[in-house]
Amino acid sequence: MRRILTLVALALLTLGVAVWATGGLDGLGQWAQGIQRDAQARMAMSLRSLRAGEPGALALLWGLCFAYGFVHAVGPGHGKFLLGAYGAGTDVRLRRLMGLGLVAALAQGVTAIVLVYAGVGLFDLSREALQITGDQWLERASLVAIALIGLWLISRAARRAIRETMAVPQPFHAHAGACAECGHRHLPDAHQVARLGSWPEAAALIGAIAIRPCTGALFLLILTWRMDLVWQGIAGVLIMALGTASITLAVAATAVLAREGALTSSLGDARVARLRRLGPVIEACAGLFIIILALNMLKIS
Amino acid sequence: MSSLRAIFLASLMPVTAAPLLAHPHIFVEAGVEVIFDSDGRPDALRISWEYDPFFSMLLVSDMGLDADFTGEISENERDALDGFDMNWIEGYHGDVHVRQGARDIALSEPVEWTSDYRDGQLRSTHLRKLLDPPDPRDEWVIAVYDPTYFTAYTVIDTPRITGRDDCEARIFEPDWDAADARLEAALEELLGAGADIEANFPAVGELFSDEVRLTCAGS
Repeated sequence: MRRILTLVALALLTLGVAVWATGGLDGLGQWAQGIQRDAQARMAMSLRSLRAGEPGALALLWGLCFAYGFVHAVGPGHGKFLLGAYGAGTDVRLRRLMGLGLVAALAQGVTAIVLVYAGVGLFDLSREALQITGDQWLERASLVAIALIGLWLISRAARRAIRETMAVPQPFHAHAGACAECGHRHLPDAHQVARLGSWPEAAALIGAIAIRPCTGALFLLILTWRMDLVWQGIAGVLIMALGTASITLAVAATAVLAREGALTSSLGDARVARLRRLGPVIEACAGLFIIILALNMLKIS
Repeated sequence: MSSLRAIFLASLMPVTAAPLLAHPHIFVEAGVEVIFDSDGRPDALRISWEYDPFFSMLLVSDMGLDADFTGEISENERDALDGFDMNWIEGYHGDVHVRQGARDIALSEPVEWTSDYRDGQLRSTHLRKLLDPPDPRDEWVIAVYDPTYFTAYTVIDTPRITGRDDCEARIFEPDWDAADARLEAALEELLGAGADIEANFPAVGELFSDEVRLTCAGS
């Protein structure tokens, strides 16, 4: 019976990915919320079964954790947007971006674990006090950090747009020579690549995502701690992080592919020139989007 | 900063404000009973809440009940539940919003509450008086939502109507895509006008709310 439930959940998940991937974005929020509600309810049941020592309960719990992390990321989780915008706005390579996504998601899970068990072990904080720490301080700090990254992307885009407009007055009849030049200008120089790939930037990105642990993960850790299911809960949160990462990775890949598709397609010269002008625009939009999102969450927080 | 969690925290521990996340983390199935007085005027609403099993488990464990996590409690423990979600903090208004046309209808404090925990789910009911009742000859609306959207309410079952038999209650679900679009448009407008997004942020919860629309045949 449990195996069947797990299989059904997996089938639903696959179906969901298919719907999402094929652009069936209408009602996405509603769909994600329905799955989250369901996963949350089943998680309570699986915890009860696990504590009662029923076989298969642990696999079910972990499967639900993955599903929960996945649908949670489909909703307004900021890590996905942050990473996507970063990927669209910079020349970071796909593999590195996906690595960042995975590390950031796992770091987010680890933050929750450290927060709960540091509280439990060292300070013996109550759940309520923990949530004040977790949600209020860390979240606000993280949202501010995100908004700053958005600002940074916009300012960079603006600088680039100004530089290109000033330096390369495009002749009306754009010929191959002129565009080869503007194309050359647009490619990142060695200095830029070094700067974009620098570890402080990567660390800042990971930090902004990791610093805000998911409320669902905190709930699960507190419950499993009270139930004496410590390692099962910790593993569950890490699996939840993998579920979150799977969406984040998809968004990261889409962002990079879209950027590369937009910038390196072998279209006509004039069109390529126009598209290259789009680079800063895309970047600025991404930055703006991030800021709106961060402010949005800051307000709702 | 009004949310169920804030209320719970306030009732369990002296915490003045609870932070929230945009994403719903508590799911509540809400029931509405509309009660008319003997003159056929809308008199009160009986609201019922059924909490999702995960949050129920957390809350019951917070209260130190059901130590074995069986999903059931003893009769003694049941007494300890009394009014667990009725200690409303300042600024929290019960997540039930009644209006007729442009007029907001005030509701009383919750009274006559009940609470229970069975099959791993917390349930409670309470009564709210309509302080300035709507005119039953025109349509009026009961919307159920947490403005902060930390709690996602779903109105289950068609509301029961007590005291009249010529009224009809219909449930309207949110138009999710329209809600998303409206949120986006509102944000853009605010940004364009240079407004303070923090101070004027649109109430997201309302966009995603279920509502009950009531109409009565005659008076």
